[in-house]
Parts: sequence; structure tokens; C-alpha cells
Amino acid sequence: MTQSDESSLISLTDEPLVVDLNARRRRRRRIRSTTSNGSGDVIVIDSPAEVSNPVAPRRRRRQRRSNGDSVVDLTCNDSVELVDLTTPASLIRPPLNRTQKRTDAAGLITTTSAPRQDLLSHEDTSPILKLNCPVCLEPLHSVIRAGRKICSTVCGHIFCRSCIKQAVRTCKKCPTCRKKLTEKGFHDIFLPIS
Amino acid sequence: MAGLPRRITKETQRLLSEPVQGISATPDENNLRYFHVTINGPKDSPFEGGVFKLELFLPEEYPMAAPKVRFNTKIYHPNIDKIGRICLDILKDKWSPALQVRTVLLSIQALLSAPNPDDPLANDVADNWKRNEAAAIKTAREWTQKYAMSGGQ
Repeated sequence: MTQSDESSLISLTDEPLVVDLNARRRRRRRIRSTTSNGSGDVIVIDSPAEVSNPVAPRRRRRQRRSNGDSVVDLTCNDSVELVDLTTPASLIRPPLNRTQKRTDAAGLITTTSAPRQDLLSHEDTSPILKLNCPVCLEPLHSVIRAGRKICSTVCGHIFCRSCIKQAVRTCKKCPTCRKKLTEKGFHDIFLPIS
Repeated sequence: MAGLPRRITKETQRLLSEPVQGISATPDENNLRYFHVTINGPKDSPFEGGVFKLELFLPEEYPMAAPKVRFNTKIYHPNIDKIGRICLDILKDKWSPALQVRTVLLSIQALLSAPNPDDPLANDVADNWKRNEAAAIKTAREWTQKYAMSGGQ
């Protein structure tokens, strides 16, 4: 296996969260520098007055997008990393410091290059995959293992595809929240595991 | 009949291994879609101390269709009629395939705690309940004693 193969495996399989975090952190650093180049006052970005500020349009767009991600980013430098880590990553594992993360990533190279069966049994420990489809009550990892697809509704509720398809056909509602749904009201989701 | 869906097997296993407090549900040995159910009258309700027998049937379309549930023990309740039919939204239009036997029985237990005379099934009982609640509760308690205690019918 080549070096590039390995790195693409990491990003596609087990470590997308970490990769994503790094990307975010980089973006954030860029934002911080643009704001200090501009007014110098970080909070100004949130105010409507900023819209009329003669900042380069591309930059402004980027700033606004990341404002939507997290407002805390711009006000407190120290908490920035904590905020990002707790939202997505706490679902998988407790927040790690940077050194631990690197060890982890190294460890995962071994897991990803292992046979598929091992990969799945490793994934069995992930809390997300231990959840059941609310309709057939099968754990999501066995749904995936059986080669079936997992879907999310537009209201954000997760089912296996055959169940949500049948439920929408018969009840025309989301089984979890009863929101009215049509056949277009759900779509496949692709969990970063295989 | 086709084989029993895995979901029903799973639900049955869990009902037996982790029963809900005050509720028992046992599948019939000849028909695993048919359950013998008992619900204990909730504390601080006129049904307290009573053990109410119900029957529950999972139709072929389950879980896309609601279970059919009926009281076999007579009960004086504005939302349960003479022949034991239950007026409960989740058994009708509010059914969802994400609900289970367990959640249905919990809802029925809650209905015993909170009778709703404004959405009646047994009109005479509901009228009584609204006109003279104290008397209605007294009757409910008497019926509980008569029909739901120590092997009553």
C-alpha cells in the first residue's frame, strides 16, 4: 500500500471528524486574521452594520458562513477548540488533546488496513451504530452488514431504507415525529465507516 | 401464516426479560401475535388495587398498523366502553410504526391515571364523570373492587 493510499483511507474511513476539525481550525485562523486586518473589533462581524462594510465580497461570505457554524469562535479564543470538539466528536469518543489524537490516528491506520470483518466489529463499538432502526428494531450495524441502506428523513430521523419507505407509503408521516412526508422526504445517508 | 417477523420476536423477548412495572404481556402459546395482558390499576387512581385483564393482537400489517387492544375486565372509565374497546388516539389515527406493544400498554396505563371525559367512548360514564366527578370516581372504585380484584370477572 502506498503512502497516498493510506492517507486517503484515513480520511475516508475512521477519522473524518478529526480531519474536519483541522480544516475548521484552519478556516478559523484565516477568519481571525481577516478580522484583525479590518476593524480590529471581532464582535463587529455579528452586527448588521458589517454588511455595509466594504470588505471583499468573497471574504465576507466566508465569514458569515462560519458565523453560522459557531458564534463562540469569534469572541473567545481559548474555548474555540473545546466548542468544536464537543459537538460532533463527543458522539464518538471523549475530547482528546492533540498528542492523543495523533496516536489515535496512527492506531487507526492499522484498523483500516485490516480485513473488513475486523473493521465492522471495531465499528460495532461505536454508539451511533448501536442505535436501532425505530421500525424494525435492528441495530444499524447489522443493517449495514446486511448490505442495506440507512436513510434520514428531511426532519432528521434515521431508519433503514426499507422501513422508512414502507412507513411513508402507508402512513405518509415520519414514524418518529409524525411530520408529513412524501417519497421525496427521505434520502440515503453515508456513514464514514466503509 | 408466514413466519413471525423479527420485530415481534424482539419485542416479545424484551417484554418478558424487562417487563414494564405494573404491566405483564405474555404471548399465547398457539398464536404468538396474540398477547394476554394485565395492567395494574395505577396508584392514586380509582383503579388502584385492581388487576385488569386485556387482550392484544398484532395484525398482519403490524407495525404499519396499530395493535388491536381490548379490556377483558369490566371497568368504569369514560374512554373504555362496555365491551372493553378503548378510545385512544395512538390506537387509531395517531398510530406510528415507531410505537411498540410496550409503549401502547404504557399509554393505556396512563389513560387509567388520567381519564378524559371530553373525548368519551362510553357516553353515560363520561356524562357522569363531568356532572359529578366524585360520584363517578366512587363507582369506578366499586367496579374495580367488584371486577378487578381477587379473581373477579
